[in-house]
Amino acid sequence: MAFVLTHLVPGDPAVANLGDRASADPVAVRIYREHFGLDKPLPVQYFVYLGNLLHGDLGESEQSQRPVSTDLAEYIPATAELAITSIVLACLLGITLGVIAALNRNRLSDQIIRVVSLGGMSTPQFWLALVALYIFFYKLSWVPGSGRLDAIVLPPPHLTGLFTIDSLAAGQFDVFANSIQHLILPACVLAAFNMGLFTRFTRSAVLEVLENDYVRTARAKGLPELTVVFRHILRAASPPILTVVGLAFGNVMTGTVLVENIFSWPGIGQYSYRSATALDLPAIVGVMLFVAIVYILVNMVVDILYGIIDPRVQLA
Amino acid sequence: MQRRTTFLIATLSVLAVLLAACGTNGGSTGTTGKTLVVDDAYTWDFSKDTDPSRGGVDFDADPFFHAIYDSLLTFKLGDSSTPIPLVAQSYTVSPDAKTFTFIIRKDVKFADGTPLTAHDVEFTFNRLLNLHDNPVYLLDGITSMKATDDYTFVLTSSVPNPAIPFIVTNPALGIINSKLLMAHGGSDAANAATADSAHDFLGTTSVGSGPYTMASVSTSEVVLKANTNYWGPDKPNFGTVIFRNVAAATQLIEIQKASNQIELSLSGDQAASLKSNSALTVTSFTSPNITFAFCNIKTTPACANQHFVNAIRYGIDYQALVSVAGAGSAQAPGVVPTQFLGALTQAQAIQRDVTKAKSELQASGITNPTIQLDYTISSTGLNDSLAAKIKANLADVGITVNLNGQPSSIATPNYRGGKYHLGLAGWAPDYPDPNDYLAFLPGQLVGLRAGWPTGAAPDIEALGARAGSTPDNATRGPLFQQLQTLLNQESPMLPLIQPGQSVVGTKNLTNVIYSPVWYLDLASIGT
Repeated sequence: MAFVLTHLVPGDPAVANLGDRASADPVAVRIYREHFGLDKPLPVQYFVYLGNLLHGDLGESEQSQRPVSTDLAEYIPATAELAITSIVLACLLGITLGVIAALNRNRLSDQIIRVVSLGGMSTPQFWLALVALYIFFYKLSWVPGSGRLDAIVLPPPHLTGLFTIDSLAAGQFDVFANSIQHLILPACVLAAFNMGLFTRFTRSAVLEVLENDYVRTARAKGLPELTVVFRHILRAASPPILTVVGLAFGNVMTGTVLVENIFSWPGIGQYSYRSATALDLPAIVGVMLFVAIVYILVNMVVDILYGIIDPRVQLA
Repeated sequence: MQRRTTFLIATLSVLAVLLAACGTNGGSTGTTGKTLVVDDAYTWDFSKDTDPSRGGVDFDADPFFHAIYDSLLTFKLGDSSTPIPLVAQSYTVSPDAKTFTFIIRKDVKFADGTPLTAHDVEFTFNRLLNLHDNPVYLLDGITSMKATDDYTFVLTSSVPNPAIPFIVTNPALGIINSKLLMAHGGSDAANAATADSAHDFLGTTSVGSGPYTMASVSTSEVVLKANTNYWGPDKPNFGTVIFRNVAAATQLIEIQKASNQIELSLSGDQAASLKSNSALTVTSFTSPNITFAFCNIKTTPACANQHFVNAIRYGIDYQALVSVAGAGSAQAPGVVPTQFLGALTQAQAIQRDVTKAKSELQASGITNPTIQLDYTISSTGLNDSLAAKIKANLADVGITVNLNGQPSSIATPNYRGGKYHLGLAGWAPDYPDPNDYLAFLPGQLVGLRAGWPTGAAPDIEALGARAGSTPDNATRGPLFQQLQTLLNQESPMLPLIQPGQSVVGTKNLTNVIYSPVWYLDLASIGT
């Protein structure tokens, strides 16, 4: 499906990718087509692609002229580092605020939290990114500028591609500090929407379980309020929250293009955008497959976690 | 136990973040001394095009190649009108402008210490020709490329081509260390397009004799290190140059807190907003790029009617387009930019004349014409603004324009495939010589995209052939002016504007001077 839809896009990859002059040179165009197999009929291209895919070969990017799998392996860690950090931040803040809002329903704190969550969800990310960079980098100097590291800092030796982990593994604590400093602002910007989303979902889910008999019983038993909240309320309210966290994680893994662009973050968002504008068909199909795999994995993990959190699901 | 572990992990995490937050910007590990940072919002793919013979005519890549690979000839900083010696200490041109003999310096060494000879030059030129990649057109018409001895290289052209000295300054023709490259799969053979396997090697190692070498390449930045073996008299001022891919909006914020930094992608308006900042040097100027329109005879039969084309020509408000394009922009009086030999003056540029446009439309015999204006939706929004202005201008004349902006992935093949109707497009110089603009003539690259085949305008074609082959610049310049005057009267080509361009650098930097060939000479930039 991904292959066929991608190849239905109007336009000629050879003409789009070759230079202005070379695209008018029949020899250059022929060599290009032969190199990328574009000279073969579409069904043949499809079966060649399928055959290669079975061996883990996603083809060669027409832009980078490297295996798409190599490109993805280079871009995905940058996005993963950003996405994981932003989701952790969004969960910590969003779920906490959601619980507080629900426990203080219709009080001032609830109203404030609802406004904040609405703001987080309705603020365009590219705008927020620029404003955040202006305030926290330019005006306050709390964080460094764009990129994953300062220009003069060399990346740590490659292990996972996640600079925070690789620098720790290499014992380069100054690089670790620098990577955290660079990570924090784009992660917060990316977390803003999901924080609002999680707040609203958590509030709604907690409100649903708050009036249940077992919550009243727990309180009547004299259990500390924190125990009631964490053991009895939040656990019961977790499945819908978990669902939305899973979807949000898939979303940030695959939809960070604007934030990556503003913060010069060399992630999968920038790669997919550039591939699309250059009509780099193997790369586009590779990214589509990656997106599909991310959502499948996220759903699988969420299903497993359902069973861990809610024994009834496990029994079923 | 489980609770304790959780608490421990949480505490360590918080400590780690606090440690990070307390650190200074810029760690010490792996840092270098004097570093220049150059930001550009580039589309060039560094992971592919670290090979000058493949990626060397990409505007974004040219500063990089120019810093690493020396070419036969070069230009004096800030003056691209006369090629001067670099690897070639001198050159001679035969009276018929067909044979060019370059005498190679004997003291040039590649970064690995290998002496550079004419055989390296021959290998470089042959490889570029046989790879048949993007820069191959630079050698159009070349019939022979030969090292006649270790220090003499002879180029022969099938037709007189006085532009050759300008062409060989192109970073795509930067000289490659042939022995080193051949040892890693490089080939200049006739089947180099398939036989050359140096791609991976060139992705990690540069093989030039320039003032810098490539230290590392990633998807977001390229790091250059000063060539410690550089043969030239002027050593580079910065030990490290980092070429980063940064969005224009981010460049605008970051330059205000930077040192030793240059931003290349700011629009005229963005650059103007920084003029009051005393820590920065803002340079806005007219670029040598041409934004032009054309009326495609092949897709739009009305474009074959010269009166109709003239109605468009005189209906466009060029000054309004200049103001839309922002600071530094100027009207393009002809297809040759005002900076180059043979350009028309602003006084010779077409002026809007609605009355004349209406009478031309009436003379065309076409009533209530409607035409589609095709263009690429640009990231800056400039094309969209220009297109909207042209639509409004032509409505005053009685021509209805339907705008058809498309993303570049669709628009580019349409433009190059000659499928535009009334088209809006751009042309950046491949080399600073008017011969580059013969592409606008009938049967040539841009001419064909306008459905203007060979034989469509014999007077223009004959004049173009003469202008392009005349060796003497004193004669060639006026010939190109005559040619453009004719183009402005009888062709489907409509030169519109030369957009403004801006370079913003921190105040401490010197020699941040624009070049139409390689944009910036990184090695000349100092403090």
